[in-house]
Amino acid sequence: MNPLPMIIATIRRHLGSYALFVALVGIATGIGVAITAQEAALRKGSARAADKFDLVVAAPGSQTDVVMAAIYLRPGTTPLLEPAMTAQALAEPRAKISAPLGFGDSVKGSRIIGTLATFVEHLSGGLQQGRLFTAENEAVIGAAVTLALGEKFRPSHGIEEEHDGDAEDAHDHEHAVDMVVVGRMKPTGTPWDNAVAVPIEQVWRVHGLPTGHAPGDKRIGAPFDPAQVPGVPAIVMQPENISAAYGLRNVYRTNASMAFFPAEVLVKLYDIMSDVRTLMAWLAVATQGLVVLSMLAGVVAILSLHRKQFAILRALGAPRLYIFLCVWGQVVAICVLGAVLGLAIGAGAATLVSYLLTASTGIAIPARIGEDELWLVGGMVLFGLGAATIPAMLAYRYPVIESLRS
Amino acid sequence: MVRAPALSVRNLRVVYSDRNAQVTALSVDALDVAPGTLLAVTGPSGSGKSTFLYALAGLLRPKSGTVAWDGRDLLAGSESERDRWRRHTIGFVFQDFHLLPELTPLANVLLPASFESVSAKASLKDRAAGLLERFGVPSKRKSIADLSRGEQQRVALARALLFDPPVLLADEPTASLDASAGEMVAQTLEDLAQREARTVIAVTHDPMLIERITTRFQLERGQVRQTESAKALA
Ligand SMILES: Nc1ncnc2c1ncn2[C@@H]1O[C@H](COP(=O)(O)OP(=O)(O)OP(=O)(O)O)[C@@H](O)[C@H]1O
Ligand SMILES: [Mg+2]
Repeated sequence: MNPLPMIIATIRRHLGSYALFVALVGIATGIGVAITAQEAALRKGSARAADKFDLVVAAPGSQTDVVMAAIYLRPGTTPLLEPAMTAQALAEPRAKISAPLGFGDSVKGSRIIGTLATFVEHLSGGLQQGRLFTAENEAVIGAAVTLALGEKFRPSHGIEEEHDGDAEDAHDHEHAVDMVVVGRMKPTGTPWDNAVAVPIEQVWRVHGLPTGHAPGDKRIGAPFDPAQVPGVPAIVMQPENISAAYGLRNVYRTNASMAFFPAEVLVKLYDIMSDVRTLMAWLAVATQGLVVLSMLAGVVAILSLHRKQFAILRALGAPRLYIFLCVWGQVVAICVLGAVLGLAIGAGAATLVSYLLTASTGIAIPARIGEDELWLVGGMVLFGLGAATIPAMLAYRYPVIESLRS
Repeated sequence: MVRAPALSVRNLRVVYSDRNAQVTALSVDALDVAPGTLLAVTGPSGSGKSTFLYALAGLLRPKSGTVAWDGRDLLAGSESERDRWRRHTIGFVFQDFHLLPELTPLANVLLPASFESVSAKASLKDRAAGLLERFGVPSKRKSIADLSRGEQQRVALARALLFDPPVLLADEPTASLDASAGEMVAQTLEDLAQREARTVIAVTHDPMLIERITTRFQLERGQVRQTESAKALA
């Protein structure tokens, strides 16, 4: 039995309508695919961006705010950790790295962040070019920053944000410090790709704060002089091992400080978002279902124009299965082509959105068509094939002689 | 050689129900047709000739009565059994041809082959092309719409004969044909019945065709008016 010539002939006859059906199914599927792929990618990307931030110590307050500011470098106000706590944390012996994060000015739209050379090394996993900073006026730039190695720059004050306890009065001109780029980080897929890392001492000095060392001391980095350490918005620690991580978290859970694993904060955030995610997934499924149903309604309308064709086939002795396959095959063709188109549209849209999100947040968001998306599309196809059995069976029910006369 | 089944019709009533009225389109009390008969069905327009052929092919459900081929009541089996029986037993030439405009003339002739569980063999394609050639239909034409009515009529006949059926039911098979094509079709029908012992029942107004057929059956307003055969005439 070969209903293929009939199927192809019918589709060719109504090529415009069928192309429209395929486009509709494809677009609806594409939107669903893009949403789920994008959502998964966003989670993966944001989690990966937090990978190198094992434990964060900050002033008591919102953990989410600290994560946003310290890891994703979103502008916002973060209270400062008390100087005494800061000094204690920076001298923490159970942490391999204990790095302050201080937000400074900007250069060419890139945030300047004060920290330790060891943290830069840790974050980037070895530099791409040049070396780490060893003096207060040296800087290591993120992979995407549009400065060149050896280039000199002056930080300019006053992009988006202010700091609590910022001793300096805000003014909109360049600070009279010449900085020089000595190294470039590897791409990290984090907002740090678009940041400029400088010694924390430099940020403190620009803000008119003590610089962590005795006046006149030109050294940078640890160890700091506890008497000379000002407050910072956040400290990132890399504990020696897991048990040290939990130990440190307990130690820095005090009245004056909070300590947390960013990964846990993200898990909580994803948890909250998962309801939204479920809702979106169901919306995507419902949209697809509706589109498939309206496609079927369209097919049924076309089929009723073809009652006579089915009557002729019946009159010539076409078996029930043949008639069934003629109708069903058309829907299969639409669903399968729509699914392929949908996957393409979905992948394209997800890639585009990823690109835009990465451009605006710096977080690498690797949108990919995964198992979930394939299930979504496969489910749509199965639903279409299932629903198509109804018109396919009805086609056999058309009364032959009445239909022949029409 | 295939043996055509014997036809036996008893108390056949076909009623069409319009929106409000019921029309008795056909009422045949008794009719027997022996295998190998060439039968002409005549009668005025609207007298139920097409309806009669539909009933013989099991395409419609009579109000009452039986149509039996070789003693087997058409309505006894299931619809799919009837489909299969029709496919293998009946060649049908519709009054309006009922070709599928989506398909090429050759594909139209081959259409019944696509219903079979095994796909069309090359020999069947040769046969289809051969039938078209024999009936003088230009085989290169892409579309049914490019054919004249007379050519379409012959495509319909070729389609009906694809499987070499034991029974051919033809509704006005020469109505759109010129004299020579009509002769050729008439000859074909005659050969089928006389040389190959198939049953051929042709509805016709065509004097040329009627003249060549010795067994006749005339309908008027759904009733049998007259049955005559060469023997009776003689
Ligand atoms: N589906 C139908 N519904 C209602 N009435 C019908 C239907 N089909 C046929 N009729 C009527 O039944 C009668 C017989 O129709 P039929 O087509 O069998 O006539 P016919 O002898 O073939 O006529 P013609 O020579 O014009 O083809 C006609 O009066 C016709 O109007
Ligand atoms: Mg008729």
